[in-house]
Amino acid sequence: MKQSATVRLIFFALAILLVPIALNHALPSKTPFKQQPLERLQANRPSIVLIGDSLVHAAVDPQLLQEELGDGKVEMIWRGGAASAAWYLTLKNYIAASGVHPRLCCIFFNYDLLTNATFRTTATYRRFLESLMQQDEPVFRLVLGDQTTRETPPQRVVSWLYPLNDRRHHYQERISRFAYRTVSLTGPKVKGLPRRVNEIFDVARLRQETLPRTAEAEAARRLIFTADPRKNFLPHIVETAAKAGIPLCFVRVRPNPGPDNQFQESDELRRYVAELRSWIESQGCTFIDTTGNQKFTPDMYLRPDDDHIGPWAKERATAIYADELRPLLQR
Amino acid sequence: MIFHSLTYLIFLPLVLSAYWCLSRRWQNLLLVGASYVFYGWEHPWFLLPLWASTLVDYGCALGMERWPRWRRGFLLTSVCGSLALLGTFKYANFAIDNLDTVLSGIGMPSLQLALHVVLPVGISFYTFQSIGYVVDVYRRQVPAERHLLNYALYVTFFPQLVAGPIERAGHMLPQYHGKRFFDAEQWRSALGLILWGFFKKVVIADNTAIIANKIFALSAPTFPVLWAGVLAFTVQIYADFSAYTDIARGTARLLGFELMRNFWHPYLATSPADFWRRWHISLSTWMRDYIYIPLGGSRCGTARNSFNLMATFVISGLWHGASWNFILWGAYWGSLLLLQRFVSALGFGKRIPWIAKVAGTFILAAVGWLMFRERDFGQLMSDFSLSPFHLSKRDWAMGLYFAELVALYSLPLAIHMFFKGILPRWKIDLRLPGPAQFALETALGIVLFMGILTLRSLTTSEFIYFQF
Repeated sequence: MKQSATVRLIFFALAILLVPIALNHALPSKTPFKQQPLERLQANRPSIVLIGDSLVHAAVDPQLLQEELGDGKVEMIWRGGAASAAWYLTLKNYIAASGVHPRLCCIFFNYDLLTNATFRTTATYRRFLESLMQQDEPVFRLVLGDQTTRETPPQRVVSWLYPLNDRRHHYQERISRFAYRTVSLTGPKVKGLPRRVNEIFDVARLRQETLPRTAEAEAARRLIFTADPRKNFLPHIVETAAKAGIPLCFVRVRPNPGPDNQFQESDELRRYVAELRSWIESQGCTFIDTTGNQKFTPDMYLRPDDDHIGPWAKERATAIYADELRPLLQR
Repeated sequence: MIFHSLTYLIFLPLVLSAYWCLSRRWQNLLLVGASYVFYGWEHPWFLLPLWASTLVDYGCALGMERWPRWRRGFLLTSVCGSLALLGTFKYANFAIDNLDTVLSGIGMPSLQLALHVVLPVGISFYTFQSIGYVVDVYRRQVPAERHLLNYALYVTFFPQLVAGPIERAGHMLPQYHGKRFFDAEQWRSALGLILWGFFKKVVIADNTAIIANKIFALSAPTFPVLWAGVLAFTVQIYADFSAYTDIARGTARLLGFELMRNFWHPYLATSPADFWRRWHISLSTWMRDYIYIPLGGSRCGTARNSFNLMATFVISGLWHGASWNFILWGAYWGSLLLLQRFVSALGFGKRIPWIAKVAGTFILAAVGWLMFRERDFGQLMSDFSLSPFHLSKRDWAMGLYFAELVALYSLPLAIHMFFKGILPRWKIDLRLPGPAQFALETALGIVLFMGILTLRSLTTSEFIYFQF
């Protein structure tokens, strides 16, 4: 009797620990790689590729830019909310992997997104990033591994035994989406509910005492430029482009300048941009700063508090960017 | 050290393997040492007030037996010592702040004083447990413990040191004296309890905490969003605290001890009084035995009895924290219990269906949790003044979304409540024959472990009751 109780205990403990190992390795460990952009690049063989987030999508019409520049096809690979991790993966797994050698590859960014490695790399964004990843991404692990998960050696063993431990964001995202779906099925119909839910948690709507006051949070808010390959994707972007022989151009997008059409920036940001520019140019890449370009007038923006160009001004904005890019193609 | 940390997952097997190789006397020594390591892991100085409390109460209890004439003196010394400890670490700044407010109200200069001390975790738990012991010795309900080691173990036993259950000497000391036998069946049930505790903490409590924290960070939430946040906190606090208790009880069982039950499906309570028979049972029975009854309990006139009840709940509120919202929360529950007595005396409530009683008590508890969570009085008033009328479809959809998210995360809790709380009420026993029951329990263990791996919150938080 006592012996059978001990056997049951051992079986119970082993089953709980071992069955999940088998299940963990049987279930997919990442979102499948999205092939379509790669196939599109190979089919179109563009001479100019634009990479960015919703800001570039709102401001540039690829067809129009193609006509303006008259220098082969223009392809745009964008995603709302994308940042440096997504741009690195796009460059490496699509543009460089396609074998197409465009005359120019432009990355559109604003603020400190080129060096802010952790920006939008979790939750919904993580799933999107996984769709750009191959099975193993050593650079991704190098840059984000220690910043987002801070894994200790025993934690790494757990992650190795139970890989689904690292996919929690995926399942939680599914739960969140399920809740959105059920609300839209059973509750009031509201267009763009996820976006509206995000909007209510805007910093301006939070109680001041709830904002993080830790030294780490303060440091994160400070703008410090670094080209350390362990800390951000920028050096890897440059290196990937250089290895593939792709000329790289970084375009700093002009944010909404406000009603007086005077874009103001802090001394800290100005110093950061100067260091960023100097480093980029030292690597043989081009840096275009459009923040001072007064052709982007306040009436072109979607809303007074928004940095996106309105659909009515897309053509004008495309023409301005064409003017900025043309000299590079004439070299 | 916290339960849901890798350190604890290494610490526990080490303690267990050493523990079961030793004789009883050495086992107790090991447990006391391990408990000090556990408690002093991050802040070793936390051990100083713990040692002071242990030595003073141990000495006072022995003194009561040796010099019976001075019993009352020893009792007062011990209780005042424990209250001084609590007062210094927990209530001093609160008292100074309020005194300053009064002084400035009458035009006098403020005290310009503040104690810069960190509250040692679990101080409210172990001081109450110690007070319970000396009062029991004073009442001659238990003999004074002669072995300092056993008494130290009673105060510091690591599974329940930080957040209870607040144990009784009559229940624990005999266990510390007795022999322990390795029981494989007990171990299996202990592992199941620990697993369920971890699941409740890292999946249910931590995920609902994210929702509650986000909503309670809003400066101007709408009515549906705020109450979805209250629902999230209602689930969070139960899952969080009961998880701690389950892990504590499971760990104690692995060591051959049985801790008292601290929760019994509180959200199935049918009245405020019933809620307190099911919620934090070790504290509510402590309050009953050491405050309510000594004040006179119910064996006195209506007015005095009402005062006793209200005082007990206000003290219970204050025990949770040095803040007016906790006092308000205690007074709220005291008022509800008085109201319940009044309504029962009039004969109302007998025909209300069970489900309506449960739903009503749940709503009352949720309103209480809003007072518990919202420390800013102005914000609390603003929360209560929110109107459910003239809101847009968008506001309702957002509230509904958060409520559904909370419901999804708390689904396992609801299933557990149905099988363990509701079916037994209907006298339905779903226990399967031997091997099938074992297979079911193993399958449930696997599901819980898979749940922990895949649904564990991306951000983890400390147990809520650590702050008390």
